[in-house]
Amino acid sequence: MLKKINLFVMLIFFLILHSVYATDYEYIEIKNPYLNKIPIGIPSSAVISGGSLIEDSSVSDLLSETLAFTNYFKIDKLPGEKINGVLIKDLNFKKLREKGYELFITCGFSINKSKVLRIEFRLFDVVREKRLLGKIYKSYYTEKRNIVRRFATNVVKYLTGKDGFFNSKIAFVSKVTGHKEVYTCDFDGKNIKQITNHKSITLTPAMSIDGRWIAYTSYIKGKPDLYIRNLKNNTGFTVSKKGVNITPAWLPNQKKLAASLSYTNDQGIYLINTNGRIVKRLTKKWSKWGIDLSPTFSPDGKRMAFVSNRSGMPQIFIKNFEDKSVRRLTYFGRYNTSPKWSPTGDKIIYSSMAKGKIDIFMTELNGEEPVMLTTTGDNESPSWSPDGTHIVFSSRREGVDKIYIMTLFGTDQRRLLEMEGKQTSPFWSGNIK
Amino acid sequence: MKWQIRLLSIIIIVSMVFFVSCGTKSTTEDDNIQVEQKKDEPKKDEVKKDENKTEKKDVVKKDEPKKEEPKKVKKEVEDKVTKDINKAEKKKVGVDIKNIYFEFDSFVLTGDAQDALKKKYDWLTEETDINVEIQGHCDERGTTEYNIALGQKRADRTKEFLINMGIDSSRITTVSFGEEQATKAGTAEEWVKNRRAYFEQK
Repeated sequence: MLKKINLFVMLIFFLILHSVYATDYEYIEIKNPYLNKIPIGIPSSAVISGGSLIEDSSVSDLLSETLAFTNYFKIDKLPGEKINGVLIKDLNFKKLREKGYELFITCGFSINKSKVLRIEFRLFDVVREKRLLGKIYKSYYTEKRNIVRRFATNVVKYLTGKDGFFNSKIAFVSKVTGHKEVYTCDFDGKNIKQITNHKSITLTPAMSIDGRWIAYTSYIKGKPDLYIRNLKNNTGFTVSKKGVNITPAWLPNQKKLAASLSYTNDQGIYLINTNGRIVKRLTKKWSKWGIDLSPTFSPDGKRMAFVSNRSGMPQIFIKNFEDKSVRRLTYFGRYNTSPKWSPTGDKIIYSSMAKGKIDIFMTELNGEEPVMLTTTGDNESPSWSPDGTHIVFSSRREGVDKIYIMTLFGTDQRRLLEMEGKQTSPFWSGNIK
Repeated sequence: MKWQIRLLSIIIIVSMVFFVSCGTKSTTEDDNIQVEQKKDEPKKDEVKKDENKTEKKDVVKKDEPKKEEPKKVKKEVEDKVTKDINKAEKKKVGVDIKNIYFEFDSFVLTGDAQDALKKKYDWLTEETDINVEIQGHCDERGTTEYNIALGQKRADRTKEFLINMGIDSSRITTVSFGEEQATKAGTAEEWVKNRRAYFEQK
């Protein structure tokens, strides 16, 4: 039997090799993009004035920081490295290869009297001595960060075929004012903004895919109610039914959300319009003591994972809206909560408690062999980046709840924000246009 | 069984041949790509090794920050503490009974909890102009969202018990605070003290 399994493993191994070699040139290994990082050289950007270059690393530093967030690259910032220019003819590829680079990015810019910034970026394949991308951007100097993010998005799109997450935001809860309030920041922890000022207990923010809406639970009226707010024009609606109104989640393809309400005595999941009106119930009432909550949808919106205590303890279930079937997803562990369906559609991450400690797990849709992604401290509230490559979560590994990110393989774990006090319930938005 | 193994070996041999032929094919297509792939080839094995290395490194790295692991306490110990604390509560007079305690991830009223509630019932039948709010609470473990739902169930169960005994339902309101007001001590006693339905006089 064991022999048979071994043969199977070998067979699978060969098949994987096939798929790698059968495809076209692959810059980023789909199977394992984070353990074998691509060495990339990014020399200091230069101010182009007339025909000469004056070294100024302000743009290239920003680009290095931004690209570093993908965890695809081993980035060498090359301060003081003299390059003759930003064009292909100015590069000595043989020398760059000797230094071990596979990719190289040059950047030249100029600023005119009316503070208009013009940046030229070029991405080169050092091995094949080829220019892969060349982009020129023009905008006001204050928009520097956005220009860099746009080019970084182009680089990631060229190398992986995906849109990345450079236009996404992360919503979270912080108690820095003494009250739990909702905040947002950019994907890199920059640009922190306080969104609520209820001076109450405010919890579990969820942003709509387009970033226009945010929904959360707050105790403004002394009990957990649901607040739905349009971030653009600051209008809003409240769902303040009897009992508990919690765990909002936006549908992927419509302006609707699902949330768990208990006004019929049991805790069930409902579909709700942005004006707070209930459209219909999504889970059946199975007992007055039933708890169904924390909905999360497949990218096509045809299935919903949620937490239920119908088997006596919190476990994750999947409802299929087409055939109305419900099946249990998690069988390992006695306390599995906070599921989030991956944007790629094939995985679900969740928090699982064992021996009094909570960790983040990832499972395929069959629920078999869940992978534990965290080890130290309690780790909760996972949420996917819009491209499904990274996970944001809260952790108590340094004693106090803070927000961390990691790749979907659990590698490259690090703290996202430097902020006082406790931060919890991170939610990663889509790419906002 | 035997023929299955033989079949598998054949598949493997065929796939190996295919694998080799793939490599040759790309040589003819583009020399540069082939060079790159040859460079990559040994890396495949390295990646396997690297993977283990990184995992180990990760574990070491993750252990560095100051550890605040919750103390591991056996469920039996916790359940005993719950029992004791409910026993102490039921010895009080009705007006002083403030909390009904629950076991972990449970909203079941234990025998002692029910005895305490019977005393609370007696008090409520005497003090007919007093209304109460029952607040459901959870310990710091578990997740924020689930604990809000669980806290509501604890409050609901407590209310239902009193209504079934004959208290007018209009005199009792409920609210859940989940783990939002839990103290974070990480000991069995503290956990138990947090898992409660609390009576607030209105």
